[in-house]
Amino acid sequence: MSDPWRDGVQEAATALAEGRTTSARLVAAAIERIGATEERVHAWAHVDEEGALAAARASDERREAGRARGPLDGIPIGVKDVIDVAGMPTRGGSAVFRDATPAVHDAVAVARLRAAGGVLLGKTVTYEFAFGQGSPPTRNPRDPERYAGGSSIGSGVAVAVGAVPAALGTDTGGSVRNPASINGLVGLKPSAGLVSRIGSMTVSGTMDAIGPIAASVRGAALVLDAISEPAVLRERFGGSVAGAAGRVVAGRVGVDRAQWERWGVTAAVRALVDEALAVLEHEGIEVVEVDASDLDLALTAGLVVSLSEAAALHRLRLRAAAGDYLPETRVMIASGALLRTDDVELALRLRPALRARIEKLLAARGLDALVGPTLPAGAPRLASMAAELTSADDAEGLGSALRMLCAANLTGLPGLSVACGEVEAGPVGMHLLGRAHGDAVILALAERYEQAAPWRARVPLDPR
Amino acid sequence: MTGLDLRDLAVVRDLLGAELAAQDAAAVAAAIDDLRAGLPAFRRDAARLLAEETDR
Repeated sequence: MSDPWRDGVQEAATALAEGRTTSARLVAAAIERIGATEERVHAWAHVDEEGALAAARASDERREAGRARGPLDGIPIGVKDVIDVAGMPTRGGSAVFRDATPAVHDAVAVARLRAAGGVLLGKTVTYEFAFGQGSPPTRNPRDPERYAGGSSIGSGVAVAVGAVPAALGTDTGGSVRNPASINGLVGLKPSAGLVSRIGSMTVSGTMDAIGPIAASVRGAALVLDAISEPAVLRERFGGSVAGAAGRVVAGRVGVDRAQWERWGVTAAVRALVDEALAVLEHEGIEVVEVDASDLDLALTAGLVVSLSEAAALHRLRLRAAAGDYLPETRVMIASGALLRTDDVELALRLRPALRARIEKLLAARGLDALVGPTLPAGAPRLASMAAELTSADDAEGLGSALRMLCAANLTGLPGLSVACGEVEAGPVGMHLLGRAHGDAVILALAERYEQAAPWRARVPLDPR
Repeated sequence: MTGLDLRDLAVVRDLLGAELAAQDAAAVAAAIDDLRAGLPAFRRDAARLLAEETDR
């Protein structure tokens, strides 16, 4: 029998269902794995060993009595420390909440996860308030000198080292998909409205999303099922996104390679995504060249919307405790306060038009998704990483990373990153931007790739 | 970098207080300059897309 910490969500769920392991064993192995890796990667902000072991024992009792609640019952999961978990403090990676008392209630998504039997092991490290600024302690397990992804940095790294099979993150401009790509994992920003954000700290009230990070597409789909709003699941997915993904039979995707060039994607990353597209074509997925240049507008529009909303949301807290914020976060929020109202209104008016334009492109060409690289390069070196938000001149800068991903947040469409190879600087992700409520379709396409690809990400792995 | 004009500085002071506004002024100026540099092209291209979508 392999080490339990090596199991992904599906493997652990199967082992539980077949009686080959127990939740108590899985949780004990997760705690042991955290003990073995945490000194090097610092992925956790808070671990509730006793609570998790008690929940694991309760799960095992349910299973023993024939009352298991589904595939996630008994599986340990981490939660980004901007999302409330009852009994654990939510510090948001900020000194502002250094003395936070434990949350009284679960966030809605967490409550759904708990109701599905998921064992909430602890809170994973986040960049301060999920803004992506500053230097959290979490380290890239492949190379501690390189960026480990953000802002759901702890969630990505915790899954990458096998501390948990899956974790929740939040994504305002790619913060689930970015650490998934950097760490060789799968990350999904669901369609707007599929997963409730109630109970999580907000960067942008209209662009934030909660989504899963897991080692496999199926693992991410199973977690998504557990955290989704039941009414949307019923109406849009026949009760299960994972189930709906299993029923997808064909596919056709669009690529805009000229855009990859414009966005500064490195030749090595372009080559890996082209190889992944060739795998999809071999699997019967049609790949057609399209002009998606309207997406070039998404970066500025996304920044204008999210920063202006962040300034409004943080105004009162800043007045009370600005000195407790990291200077970099303060600067980012202050820049949002300086945007002109007419620019904010223009960006807000643009959102439905941009979504309509993308949906028309997808419909006119019969496409299920637009496919491209998740990030323009592998993991940047921390010492030389550019932090400017809008600069796309440097493939390793934050601006380039945001440019690739924020269209999904701006339009409410689903976006998914799946590992598709590795360059010298680490894993590379392929990104799929789907139709509204096309979550199951992009999961199906990604799973098709994952099963056919000759390459496998090295996850979980021992940190350097 | 152009620095913050008096109107911008007043907004930042209101948000952060005078002391931190003075401390962060240079960095805020760089960040907002960076954002504003992309706005003329954004206004032009967004207006074009909105006009096209309205005409359809």
